[in-house]
Amino acid sequence: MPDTPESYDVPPISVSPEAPKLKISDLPDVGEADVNGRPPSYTTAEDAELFSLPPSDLDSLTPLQTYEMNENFLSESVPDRPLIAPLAPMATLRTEYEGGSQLFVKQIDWLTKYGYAGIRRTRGDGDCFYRSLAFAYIESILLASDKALAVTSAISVLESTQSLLEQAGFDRMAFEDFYDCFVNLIKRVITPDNAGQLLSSSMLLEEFNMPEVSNSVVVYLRLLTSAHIRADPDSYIPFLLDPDTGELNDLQQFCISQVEAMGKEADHVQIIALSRVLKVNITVAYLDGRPHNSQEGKVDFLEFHNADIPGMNPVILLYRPGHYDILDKRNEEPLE
Amino acid sequence: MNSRSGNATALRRLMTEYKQLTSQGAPDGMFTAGPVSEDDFFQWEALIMGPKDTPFEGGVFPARLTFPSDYPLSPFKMRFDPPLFHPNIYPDGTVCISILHAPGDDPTMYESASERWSPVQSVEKVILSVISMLAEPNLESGANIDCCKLYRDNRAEYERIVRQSIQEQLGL
Repeated sequence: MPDTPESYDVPPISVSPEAPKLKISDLPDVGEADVNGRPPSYTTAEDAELFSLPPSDLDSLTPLQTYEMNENFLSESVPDRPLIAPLAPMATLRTEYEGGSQLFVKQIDWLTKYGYAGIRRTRGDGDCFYRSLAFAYIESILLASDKALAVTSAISVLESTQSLLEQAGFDRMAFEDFYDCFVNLIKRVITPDNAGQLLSSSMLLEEFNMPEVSNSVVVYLRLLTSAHIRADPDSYIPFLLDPDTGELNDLQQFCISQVEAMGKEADHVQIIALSRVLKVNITVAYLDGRPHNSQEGKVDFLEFHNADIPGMNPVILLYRPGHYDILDKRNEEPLE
Repeated sequence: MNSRSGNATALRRLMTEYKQLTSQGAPDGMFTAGPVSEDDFFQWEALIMGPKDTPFEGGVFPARLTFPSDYPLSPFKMRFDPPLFHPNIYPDGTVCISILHAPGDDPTMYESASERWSPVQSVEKVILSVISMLAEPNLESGANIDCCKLYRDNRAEYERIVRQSIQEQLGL
């Protein structure tokens, strides 16, 4: 584990300005390469034009413009990419940056050197944080040293969240299917399904590529995040910024338009809220192409840690401007 | 089973909503709603009572609800058949209301604070919103521009047309 900055127990006002989410100059793209490691190809003329802009032109764009440009790339890269891809070696990511920013290449090399050998990509559809987290969360239960304990703790936490959702004003009817879907996946880690099989990593991957299952889990996590923010307004109200305008939203508006709505990216507030309510430790590695004075190519790790669960590793996500994937010490899918 | 490509989550949810609506009924009996046929849970018909103290009072308005296969991730569509003369209803009868649009999906630039679609909304919540829309049109997101103008400039004539159309509908 590399050096990490302090962990944050409160919504980190001092941290938010450093969040590099809008800094995308020099960034080749954050779309996924296909499984063979070929760089992603973009076909429209507009794309080609934008990519050929020298960095100075990108620098002249306002943060909102760069953000929108990034969003456009992400949404255009959506259709034929899996919701969650199998583990791939970091080298596949490196290839994509070799013709672009050397800062990114150095940071990728830094991650590799510190043992982060693989990346599991998620589709850039605005749900990538929730989907990455959900997958990595269930996988961490699957890989826990004491699976039964991990499943029991997870389900205990989740059961208690149902009343939280009801207190937030959500009808049980409106969320129970999503809840059942999420909880059933976790139960299958120790309870055989109808075919007598326990959940394996490859089955988890398969489930997460079925939109119905995958999106149900994403919806539940969004509602959970929203319910937690609604239940603890004092902690969150000063940080509910509209990502487009930078202005403060009221609680209701923020929860409806930035949390509950599918396709809306998560920012620090959502990550903090979800890590707390789900009692899961999340570490985010920032692959942001920013020069680091102390150490060349160093990657900052932000920890959103709330729980001390023996035998469970934190979920580690890889952030690139506008997108989350899962970071892994393995570089390929485990053999089963 | 239905011939449409509805998935299991959508079907389960629609059955739950239908069960709840039939067992509890709508508040004050303001509407009824359910599948058109047992074979297709993705097409519903709703009957909406005209709200009191509005020109719609006394009328019963049939509407068709069409659900997408990824309901409730995506909202359903609602169309009055026959169409109603109302500022927020398109001339073809389709209802234009913020709660049937996801955030960011702004066909008529609603104010951002208005209520939006999310999977925690439901048929009941939407229809209740539509009923209050019948009583209080929102001129900022007009769907029938002529009707918007008339509503704004000559309220009495607007109300007369609405009442007349209800009587015509009933063959009076």
